[in-house]
Amino acid sequence: MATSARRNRKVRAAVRGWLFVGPVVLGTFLFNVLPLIPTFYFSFTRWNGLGDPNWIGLENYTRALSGDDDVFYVSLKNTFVYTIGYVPLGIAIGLALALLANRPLPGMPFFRALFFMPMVTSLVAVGIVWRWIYNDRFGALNWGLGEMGIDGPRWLGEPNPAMLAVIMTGVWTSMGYNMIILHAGLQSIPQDLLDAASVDGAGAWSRFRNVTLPFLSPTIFFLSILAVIGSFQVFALILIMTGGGPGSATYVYIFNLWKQAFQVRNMGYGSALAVMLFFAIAAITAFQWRMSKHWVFYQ
Amino acid sequence: MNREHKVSRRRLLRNVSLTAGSAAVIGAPSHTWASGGTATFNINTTQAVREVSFMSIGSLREQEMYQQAIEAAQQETLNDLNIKINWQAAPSNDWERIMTLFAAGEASDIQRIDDDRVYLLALENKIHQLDPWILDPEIGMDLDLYYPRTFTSLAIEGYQFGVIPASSANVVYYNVDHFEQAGITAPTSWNDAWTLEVFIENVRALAEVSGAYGVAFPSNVITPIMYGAGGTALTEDQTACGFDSAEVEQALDQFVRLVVDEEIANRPEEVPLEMFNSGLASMMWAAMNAGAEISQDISWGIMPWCKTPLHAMTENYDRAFVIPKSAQDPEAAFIALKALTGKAPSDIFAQSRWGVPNLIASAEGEAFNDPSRPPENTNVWTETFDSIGEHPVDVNVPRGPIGETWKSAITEEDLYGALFTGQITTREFLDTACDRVEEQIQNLNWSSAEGLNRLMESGALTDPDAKVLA
Repeated sequence: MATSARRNRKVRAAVRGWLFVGPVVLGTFLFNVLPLIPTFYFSFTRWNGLGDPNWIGLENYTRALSGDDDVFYVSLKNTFVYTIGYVPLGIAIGLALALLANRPLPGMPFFRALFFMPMVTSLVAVGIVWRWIYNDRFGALNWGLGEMGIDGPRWLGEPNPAMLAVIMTGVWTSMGYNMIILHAGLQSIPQDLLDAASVDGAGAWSRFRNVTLPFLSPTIFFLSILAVIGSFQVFALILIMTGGGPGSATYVYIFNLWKQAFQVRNMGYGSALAVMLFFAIAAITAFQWRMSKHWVFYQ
Repeated sequence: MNREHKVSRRRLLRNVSLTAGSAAVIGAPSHTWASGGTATFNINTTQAVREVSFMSIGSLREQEMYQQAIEAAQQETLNDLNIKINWQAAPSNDWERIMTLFAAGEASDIQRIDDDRVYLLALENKIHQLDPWILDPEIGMDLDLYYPRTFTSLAIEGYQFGVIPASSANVVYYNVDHFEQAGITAPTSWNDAWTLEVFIENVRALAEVSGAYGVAFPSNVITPIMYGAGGTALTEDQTACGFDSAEVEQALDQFVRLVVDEEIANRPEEVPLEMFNSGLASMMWAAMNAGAEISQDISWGIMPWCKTPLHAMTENYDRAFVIPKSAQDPEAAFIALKALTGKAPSDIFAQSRWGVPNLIASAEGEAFNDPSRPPENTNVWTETFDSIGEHPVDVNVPRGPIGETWKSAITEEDLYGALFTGQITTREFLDTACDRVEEQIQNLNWSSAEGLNRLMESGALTDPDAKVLA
């Protein structure tokens, strides 16, 4: 009798749980998981998106991996460069802002909102504004540098500064989000631990390194996973700011995918690029999980 | 505005039903409509209203223009023919989204599409061949009423798969104040287009006086530069590229020098309209609809592109409408599409500066040449439909898979951007672009006959003997 009642409670709890998560699970399945199936299929075909797809086996994959697609490895390299610049810088600046926002200073809510604003601004608008800021002849950045006696580079007109410019803009757009998440993480650190460390004679840096950082590590881990995935999918900023240029200096993976699928209308090849990206992100995320054992501290 | 429109539609429908009803009561079985001034079309007014859907991407301003043009076509002809066009909102302002509608068989009965995509849609048998209807003595079009390019510009291997009510001409927009400061007078006709030397001298003079760029242009300006230097995208049999000559190199290189060495023309990452609107460019090469987007603070005029160095040429963007194979009543869709090329809707397109109407009466009429509306010399737009001597001003760009490869090879960022940031030489640019085109020719085993073969095999040509351009 008691077992039956317990089972009923469990079933009711499960039903309640599914009622809560059901819409999200259903939406994810319909709009995220289900489209993956045809994407896998199309990746083995030659298809322009209008007629019937022709099965060509692994040809799309060999085309990419053998280097027949001139820009495949270039775009891959550019994406890694972007990721290496964007992820640590975005989290580091977010952390610095979160530490600042955590201080009981006047007007802090206003500054938190201010730093979060790039996150809620259209990326297209962000791209256009920053394109003007970076304009080496008429832009604000080089004007400011010029006032300090520095001859600014052609930000979007030369390969290395162009990638740096896109990374800086990407960091600018994400720092508010990182700040908010890290700020929430900071507030969950027990004050008595920090106080105990102080009593034990730990200085500010020591408290940060030995108490704050370990407690924040799950949050940093979460942000790093999201940032890596986001960096592999950077598109709008590139499209608006550089169009992949100058030359192919900012030609990232997703940009190539978009060009192939929707400009050249090579949907089969575009699907193959999407599938490879899917597995690449899955592998990198799995690697991050594995490595997290060494540096993420759970209470 | 929308409410007024709906009310007007309801009234319009009621009127149509009343007309049809009255005709039935008095026993008049048919109605004669003078079409294009010569052909007549008999319609049975006792029939139900034939409904046709219409869709185009475009700004809110454009959508309003379409609704006005539809209303005008209804009043001018379609109400009498018991045909009603229903404007539909586009799912997004993106051609690719429209292509997915074609793939899903859900495009509207009259669907506007980017002129570059018509070839693929025809090849994939997604749109109707229009020659039989255009030539039909009862419902067809009077070809003499339109500029010849109406039927040549968008022809797919010589056949008609789309109708172009208007075409947007690319010309040079200039800042009147900068010109006055530099003491430069703009040419007012393509006959008087500047030579390349004069153009470059004036770019320098304008840059010096204004502190801005002398000229700003987008990547596809390469097309008129190449053709103006005697080059062509492809050889006549379409088996090799035709633009890698020394003359093309020399002409193109002069523009590269303006950007890379002299820094008096815009870089690839700088958008011409943004530069022009900010007063940071004295001239820009842009399509006709740019006029509506120029800042009110800028006093502007239009003038022809320069000779580079043989001919002054340009590229027009055709406003193409097609009838998908999924259309419920394709004949009614054609009649409605033809009505949209009539005088009243063409005048609306003309007034909106959406394009030069392909209906001659409208292009030469008051709506397009109203002296009270800027710019002054609208002939600079209309002359792009003409020739200088025997040489047409408008480049008839190649369509189809090789044409697309050519276009992307010369305008895409990796090559164009590398050229105009000094990373590669003009010769390297031309050679690489040429290699890409010829590689595609080889891959597809392409020749001028191949396009027609493919069109025949696809089943898209429902009536190969019917040919407007015969």
